[in-house]
Amino acid sequence: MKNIITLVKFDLKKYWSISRIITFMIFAIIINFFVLVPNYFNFPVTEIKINMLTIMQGLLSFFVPVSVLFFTGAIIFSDKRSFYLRTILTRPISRDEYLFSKYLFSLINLLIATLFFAIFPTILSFIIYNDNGESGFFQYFFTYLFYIIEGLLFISISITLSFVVNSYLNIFMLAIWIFLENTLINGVLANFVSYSKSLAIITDFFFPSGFSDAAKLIGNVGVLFWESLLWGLTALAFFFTLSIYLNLKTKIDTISE
Amino acid sequence: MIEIKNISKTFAKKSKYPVKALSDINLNINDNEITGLIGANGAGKTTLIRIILGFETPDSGYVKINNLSNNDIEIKKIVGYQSDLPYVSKYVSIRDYLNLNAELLGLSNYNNQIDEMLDYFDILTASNKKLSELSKGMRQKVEIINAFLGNPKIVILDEPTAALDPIVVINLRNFILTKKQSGISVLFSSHHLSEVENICDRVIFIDRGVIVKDLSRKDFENTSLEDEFTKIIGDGKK
Repeated sequence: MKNIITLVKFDLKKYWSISRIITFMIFAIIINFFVLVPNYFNFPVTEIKINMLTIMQGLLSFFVPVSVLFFTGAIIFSDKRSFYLRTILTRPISRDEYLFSKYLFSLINLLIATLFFAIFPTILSFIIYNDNGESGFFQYFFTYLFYIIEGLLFISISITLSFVVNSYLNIFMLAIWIFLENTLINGVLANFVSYSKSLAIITDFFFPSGFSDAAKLIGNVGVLFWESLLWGLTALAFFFTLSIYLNLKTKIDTISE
Repeated sequence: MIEIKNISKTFAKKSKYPVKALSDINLNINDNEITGLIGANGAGKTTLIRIILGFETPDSGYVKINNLSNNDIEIKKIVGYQSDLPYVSKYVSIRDYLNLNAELLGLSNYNNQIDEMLDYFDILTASNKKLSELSKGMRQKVEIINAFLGNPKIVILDEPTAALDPIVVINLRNFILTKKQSGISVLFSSHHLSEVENICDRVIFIDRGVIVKDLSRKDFENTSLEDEFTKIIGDGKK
């Protein structure tokens, strides 16, 4: 564990240069500004009050994949290319420690990014705009947890890809994956379960006494969440295992590859 | 002691033109000895070093260091390595890089040791410079310092003098000789025969993946290595 922490500390110090911190902060301020200002002026003007949970979900669903693309896109490949991997693995650390340090580093970056780009705007919106009170703390917490698990999945895909393809190709492939994943969850699963007209029609047909509302409720609250979670966790386990395998098989440097 | 037994390695085995890099290498590198590895380009020196360090898996044979497998974590604590391809980063300074390596070695109070070596190689004032801002020679110095960090028992240097100016080469020679007195064994590959001649207790000639000559200092004291090299490697190239 000591070696993992040493490697993560080094990576964080290497990555978070002063110029990057400043750029990150400016970007975070802009994002917060864009979320807060319309809220302050009560835009969009609508009868239905804006639900802060929806705002947070929107921000998370955008910034989780973007953060992973940004921070983890080329993580292993760049270590190989700069001969960092070769240097590190001549020291008394195992390959597993190296790999786990990359996971931890990526996760910390993801937490920082979502904190600045999704949690802060939501909290500030709460303070300025006042929530409509429909959502409790646990809903926010589990929504965040859900997106972090999704982020972990993206991280494991990104790390796995970066063992075998170069940085640009890796980012491109990860972007395609995220697009497919979002299409699958939002398009297929959501259409079929959550906002399911087809499910409603079927239930209406079989249970004309109004069972479709109950089915919709189950879909909205439970089925989509658990199906997505199960799907995500399975994919996470798959890619995590694959990254461990590739980590053991990959050559330390790229010279003879 | 490094024990190299029946090591063979062929690259691109499935292609039409496989490259036999090493062929049945048997070698013992003794403790407290400076051993030079000499050979023409593509002779197999770097492949042998990479196999010793565990970067490359041999097709046959094994390497043991102090009776342990070369991939053992414990071995990595006693082997220092200077790479011919230094780590380059525009975000990491010399000191950050050396501190990281010292911490991974489990050293405490390493600052004095690092400062002493930085001072010896005349880069103490540049210690906060980023690695990408350094000249080739300075990067090589950093890698040499890294190899000797924590006073390992065995140090492997891959072309250590390639980018160094003559003064630094002399300093490095004295540095290695001082370290040898404190019990460190050194294996280094080089093209500079005079360097090898000046400091090595033993010289191994490698040609097309085969050890063609193994000379002790006694053997080459009265002759020049250049003549030996031309005789052994040159003859083979005719």
